[in-house]
Amino acid sequence: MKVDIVMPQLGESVAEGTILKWHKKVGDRVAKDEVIYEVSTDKIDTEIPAPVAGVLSEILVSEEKTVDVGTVVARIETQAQDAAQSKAPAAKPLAGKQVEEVKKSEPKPHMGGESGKQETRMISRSRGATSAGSSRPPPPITPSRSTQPGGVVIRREKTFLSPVVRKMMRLHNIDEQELEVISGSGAQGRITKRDMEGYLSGRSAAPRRAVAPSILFDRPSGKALVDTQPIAKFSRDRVEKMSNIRKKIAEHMIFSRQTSAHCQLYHEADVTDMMRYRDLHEAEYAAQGVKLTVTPLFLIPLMQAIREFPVMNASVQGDEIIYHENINIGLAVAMDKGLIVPVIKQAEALNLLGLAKAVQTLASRARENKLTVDDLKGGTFTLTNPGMYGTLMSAPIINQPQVAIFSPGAVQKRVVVRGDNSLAIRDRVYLSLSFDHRVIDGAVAGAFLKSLTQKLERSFSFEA
Amino acid sequence: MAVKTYLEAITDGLRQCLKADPDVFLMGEDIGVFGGAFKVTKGLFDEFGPQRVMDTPISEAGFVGAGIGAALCGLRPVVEMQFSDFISCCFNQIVNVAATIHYRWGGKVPLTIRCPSGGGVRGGPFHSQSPEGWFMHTPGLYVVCPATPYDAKGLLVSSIRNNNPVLFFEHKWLYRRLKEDIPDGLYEVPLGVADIAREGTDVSVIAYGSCVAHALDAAEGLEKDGISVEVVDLRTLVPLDKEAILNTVKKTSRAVVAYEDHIVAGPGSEVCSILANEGFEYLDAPVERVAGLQTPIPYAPVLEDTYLPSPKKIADAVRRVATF
Repeated sequence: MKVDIVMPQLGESVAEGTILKWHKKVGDRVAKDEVIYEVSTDKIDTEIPAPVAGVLSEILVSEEKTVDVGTVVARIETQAQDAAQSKAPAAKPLAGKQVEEVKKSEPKPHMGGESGKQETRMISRSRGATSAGSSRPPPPITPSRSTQPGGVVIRREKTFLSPVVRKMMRLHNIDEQELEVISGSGAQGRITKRDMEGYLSGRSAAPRRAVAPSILFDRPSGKALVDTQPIAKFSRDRVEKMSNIRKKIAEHMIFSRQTSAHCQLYHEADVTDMMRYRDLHEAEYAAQGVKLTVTPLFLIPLMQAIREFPVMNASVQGDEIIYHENINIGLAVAMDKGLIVPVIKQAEALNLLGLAKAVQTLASRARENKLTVDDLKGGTFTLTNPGMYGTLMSAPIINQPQVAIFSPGAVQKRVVVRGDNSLAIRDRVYLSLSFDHRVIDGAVAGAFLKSLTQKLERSFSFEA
Repeated sequence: MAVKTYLEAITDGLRQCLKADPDVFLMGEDIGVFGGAFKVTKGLFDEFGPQRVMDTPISEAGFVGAGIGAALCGLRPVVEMQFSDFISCCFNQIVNVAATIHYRWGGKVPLTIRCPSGGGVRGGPFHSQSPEGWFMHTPGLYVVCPATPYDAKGLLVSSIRNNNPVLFFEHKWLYRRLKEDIPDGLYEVPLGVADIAREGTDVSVIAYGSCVAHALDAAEGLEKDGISVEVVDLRTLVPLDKEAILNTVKKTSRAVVAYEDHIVAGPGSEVCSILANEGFEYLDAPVERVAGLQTPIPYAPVLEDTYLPSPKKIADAVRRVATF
């Protein structure tokens, strides 16, 4: 009888495998457990033995081909009679299972037979919790649908959406793209009913679409990722398809580099007074439920400097420079799925408390996957803070269609030489600026940074 | 109210029904003078005499047939299978005669057949079966499977009072293992209504008979691991409380179905089918079954324990379903 050789599942999250090499060809005899082919998967490369002895009668999948787990890759013709022909009842398939079960049996028998050991357990049950009774209103049961003949194979891919999840998507008008920003808590990152419930509770009643990867950035790139020549893969390399978010980020970064004439300048600022201001006022802000971080402290001098150099808050369209009236500050936030830049609209109108609150709100919404389209649109200037990771200086990529991006590094205590040649230990920070040299010249950028530096050094100094 | 074991509750139900209704009488092997193989009918012969508590020859087909006849004549016989395993000897009487009389010519068969069923007592293949699946499958029969002393008495009373043939599967492993404070008088538990044995939010375990106790044990342990299990005690297989089945899975979206009968085409399979069809859109994970293995019930203790459902098997299934 013919025995199917199927692509095995060699790991919980493995969905496919690639035949690396056939050790046998059609017509060859194979012994039980003899290696017939080698397979490569995301998790492991291994040799596959024959489950039965016989002749390799068909090879259905050739070398280098990738197929889904469960696909028949070959067939072995055995000497055994077909099950339909044999007279013995089909107890054989279960034999393996029984043996398996015995091995897994619990060490102590649960249902002991000796009456001596048996104890009578007292039970009670609240009889009020019956499932029926006149008090219970009949629940609306969905009408029965005719079942389709044939089985449905559930493919364990990341995009598997269970029936109840699909129902919720339908009821609330959520499409699959929108779900990409939710990380699932189910096996292999699957989105579960509970994840959906959590996501839905965060959505406001007005049907606002949460951010989909296609609108992560204001300026659609219009350019697909360039197909490069195939890269040589080695047998243990792992290939992962980019998530939609990652693709969009990749496209935008290339687009930005190809659009702006990126240039960098670095200044250093003394932020001892700023840090002291933070220390002095932390508790007061905390009492109002607001965490006072350095970000809002940077923002105030930053926006004052922007007011002095309006071109830093502009956009380029063809041969026109558009000077934006409002300063909508984008804050780069790093998440598991990728980079996201929520925007504080009209930040120039906010005081320190307002800015601190706005920063905190956006950061927590970003972490909880509750950012909306509005949160991401309309930025005119971006602040990115790699300092939290210890970075001193950086050369960030401009967030189109803006013309500059500001990156304060990590605040460090350094020894500096003062005007009178004395030494002092001060809190210092490198200020990095990437700017678009199409419209901002080096001198302007330098003057901007100098002004910003001065404001950072002086704005907090009259505090006691 | 008095504390009674599952077995004593059944005895109590029989006694009270014998007292209340002169048409009720008992038939079975060794139930009279001997008091029954498990002593369920102990004392009843002395109290009610040989006309109401009859010892029969060893012929299930014979005395079930006689029971059907008595029922047709207006009496309410309660026939005992000494072990449910012997029910196959009177299979024809039950499925072809008792189950179809009303359908065929409008006769009434208010017959109750009590079947001590289930394993875990080292009884081997002919003293441990859970054959309820055969009868759930047969139109024209009610199938009752109590899991607690309270339900054993109440469902027995309902079964005896019912005008249809009822198969009452009392689980022998539960006989002396459970006790409960139950009302002294006659009371009924309605047929066709499941009970929520334990409320929970994460996974539903739908069970009957011995598996309810196993599921409750499993739920205790799982609670410590942060998995909240809802246990639904079906109580009767026919009529089946479909609403309860769908409601619990609507709530939790994950289900494990547990039953001691052999897994293939066992009663729980019908529950799974209902979920797959009418409960499809409630499901967030595949439905698992924990059931007796598809083998004759072994005699060797280690093998019998492997055959039977258990709290551990149920807990493992719940975990798999909960983490899908």
